[in-house]
Amino acid sequence: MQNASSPEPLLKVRGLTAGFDAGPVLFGIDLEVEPAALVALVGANGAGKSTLLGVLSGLVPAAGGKISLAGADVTNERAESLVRKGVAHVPQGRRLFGTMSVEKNLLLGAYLRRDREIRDDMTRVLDHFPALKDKLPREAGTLSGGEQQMVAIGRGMMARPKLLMIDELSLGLAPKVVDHLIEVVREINREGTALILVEQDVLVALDAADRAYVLQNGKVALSGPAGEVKNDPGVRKAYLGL
Amino acid sequence: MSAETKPQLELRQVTKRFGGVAAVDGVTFEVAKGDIVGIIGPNGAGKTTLLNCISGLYRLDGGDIRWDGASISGMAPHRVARLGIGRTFQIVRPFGSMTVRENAAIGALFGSAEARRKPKEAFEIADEVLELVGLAAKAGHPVSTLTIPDRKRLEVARAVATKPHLLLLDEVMAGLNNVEIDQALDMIRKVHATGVTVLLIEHVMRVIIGVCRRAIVLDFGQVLAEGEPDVVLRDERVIQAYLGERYAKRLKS
Repeated sequence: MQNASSPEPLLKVRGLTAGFDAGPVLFGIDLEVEPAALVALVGANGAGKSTLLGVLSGLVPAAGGKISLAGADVTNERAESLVRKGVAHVPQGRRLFGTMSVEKNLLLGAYLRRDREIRDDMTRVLDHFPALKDKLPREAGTLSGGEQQMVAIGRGMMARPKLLMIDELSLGLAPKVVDHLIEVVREINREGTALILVEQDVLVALDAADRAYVLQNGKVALSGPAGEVKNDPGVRKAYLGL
Repeated sequence: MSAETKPQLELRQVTKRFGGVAAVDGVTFEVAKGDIVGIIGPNGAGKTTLLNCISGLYRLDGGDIRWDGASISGMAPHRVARLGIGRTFQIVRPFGSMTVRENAAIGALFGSAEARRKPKEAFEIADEVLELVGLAAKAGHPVSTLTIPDRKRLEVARAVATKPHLLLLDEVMAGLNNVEIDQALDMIRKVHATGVTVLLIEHVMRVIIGVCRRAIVLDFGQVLAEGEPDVVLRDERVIQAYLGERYAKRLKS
């Protein structure tokens, strides 16, 4: 079964295809995420990154292929079942409930949980994002963009995920705020949560990640250690504009 | 004396409060005709609020905004648009079931400085503008099929179709990667080359360095720094408040 030399990947995707009425988007994606890995997923707009996250979190049906979570087949399981099994998704554009309090938004992340440790996890989230401590009663929509992203990530953490997927962390945020959020994301990762980071700021993602996958027209065009991907001439030209 | 030295847009002590908070707090600057100026600053610094003040969406609580020497404070947004101040919005809201060309024509029909245009003329302007922003090949496509970079282009096209003298751009590069940004910069240069003054908000420094002649940094609703991008981005106060150390290092290397 499992041994130290070949640990079972937390997430294993084989030959995944998916699409919408307008046509197919993903064509045979292979991808693996080891436990506690930090994986960057990069590519042009329209390459299929958000669709892939959608399939992995049960929001978009897979047309073919297989998704395994800790060795068990979870292909086309419902979103709530995947959340229970440890997959949390922080969607692009944060998607908070703007007129609800910050605290309620965070607690929604623990909606499916019945254990007694929800408050402990709330404390953990606030330790990571101390800026939210005195804003718990505020309406989430009144927070700055950076603070809203903190709530969105915190909401994901409240599901106590094994795998946290963050779509466009840097969108519309000041450079200093992006740096801070990336630091926190790395802390969360060091505490044992695996992460998939989808980013348009490719340099930010590749500097933070262990491994990287480059998606191009719905296929994996390149994958490997993030440092190697960053130095790949094609990536430098097509995504970094160097 | 000479008309050339008079600023096209002039902000004097512009102030906008929400409840007790001054989102924009005594902002003063000028934009000369033909300039490209970038506004940067932390989230919540008042950048979009300032754009909303200029385009007439918000009524000022203090100060004055002048256009070609005359006050436009308190003027309704559609009248500001007809003076020749066009703008884009951060969250794009195109008419999804209409074509790209129809969306662009709407800008020409309703934002025009002249008397109402006929639909035929509006479509001619739409075609011109779509050519300029690089969307001509997709003119007949429904907007719902556009990718994010193309939606941003269309947002610019709709604003340019109003035939503005000044174009206000609110984060039209957000969510684009570096190569897509470079293509969008080309588009902005082309629009600017037709004689349009540009005032833009961005968090992407590649944009500020790439096209702006001047950068204005807002922090807590006030002007923290102003000047050439190269100088402003090396200002210690700007690094502290906005850029962060990692970016400052990236810039130096």
